[in-house]
Amino acid sequence: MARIAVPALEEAPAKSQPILQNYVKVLGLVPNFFAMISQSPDALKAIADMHAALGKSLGHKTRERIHVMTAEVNGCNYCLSAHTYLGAKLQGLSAEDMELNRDGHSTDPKADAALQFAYKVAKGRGHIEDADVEAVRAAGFSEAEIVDIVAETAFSFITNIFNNTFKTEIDAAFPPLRTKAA
Amino acid sequence: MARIPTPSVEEAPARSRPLLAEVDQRLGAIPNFYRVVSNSPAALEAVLGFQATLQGGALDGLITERIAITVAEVNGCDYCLSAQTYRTRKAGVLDDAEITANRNGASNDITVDAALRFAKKLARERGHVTERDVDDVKRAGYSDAEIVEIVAHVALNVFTNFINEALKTEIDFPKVGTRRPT
Repeated sequence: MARIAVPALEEAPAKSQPILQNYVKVLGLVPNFFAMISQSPDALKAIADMHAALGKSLGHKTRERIHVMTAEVNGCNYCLSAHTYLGAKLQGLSAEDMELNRDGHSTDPKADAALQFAYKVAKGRGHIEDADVEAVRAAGFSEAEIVDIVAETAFSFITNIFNNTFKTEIDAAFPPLRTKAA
Repeated sequence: MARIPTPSVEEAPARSRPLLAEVDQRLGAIPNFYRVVSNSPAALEAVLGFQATLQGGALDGLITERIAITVAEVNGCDYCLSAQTYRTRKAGVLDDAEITANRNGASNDITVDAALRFAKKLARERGHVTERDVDDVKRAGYSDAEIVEIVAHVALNVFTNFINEALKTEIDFPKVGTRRPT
């Protein structure tokens, strides 16, 4: 059971309602993570807006891959289950690709460079080497995309911290997975 | 030197310029952090939105400033610790004994102390806290919504810490080094 209340859609604060309704429209459900943080409409809005804003640049496939990777690094079963499900369903990522993502790799060569870089950022909490930045630049990523990879890695850390903290129950829609670390 | 460019308003991508100008107006200067992030207009929009939304949240501003100090120390982010120390000293709201306590995840105010202990553990353990940790912070008087916001603030600071460490943003405040060996 989650460590704080998880309100049903109709019990959530009025200010949270439109954001939750939007998840119903896009995903067909309100994942427990969003239902839980809906108790603070400001926290919910902050997360939802950041998610939307970051989506304008990096490309959804690699975003999902990064989420799968950090979930593994941070031992977040909820996030791993959710993003493996969404990665396949919404982005068409293969099981083989997402298995590699968990260790900071990808079947796609360019995405592989992004994932190796993101993995180092996640593992080192941002403490990386100049050579890591040079490697991702050499793989063809622009300055904007380098910022975006770090931002997406940090953003997925945000969701990991939330779901680890509150032990969010894995939604019935997501086949449950376990990280190697958890 | 930073690992990616630190543009001025004029040098920044067009979509970032109005956002940087807004920061300039609000703070009277544009900290290098925002300039570095401005390489990606999407990431800049994401981080400014997150900050603005959380500022309107349920938590007292003086708690959130102190969470930032705690988390910067945990993640070993010299840029963030320097910026945060400068801000709080300038505002004259916290004395040096309190700032030192905050760096250790503690406070001389007993209610804030509970929030900072929780924040430190969250940041260090990436959310892997115990039921008891969550209960302790509830017992200190924080509501579920406030606890969600404590986590959101920890997460926001993780975000800025990662960006500044990964991209080695040049420190544009009196330097305060974290204790973490880098």
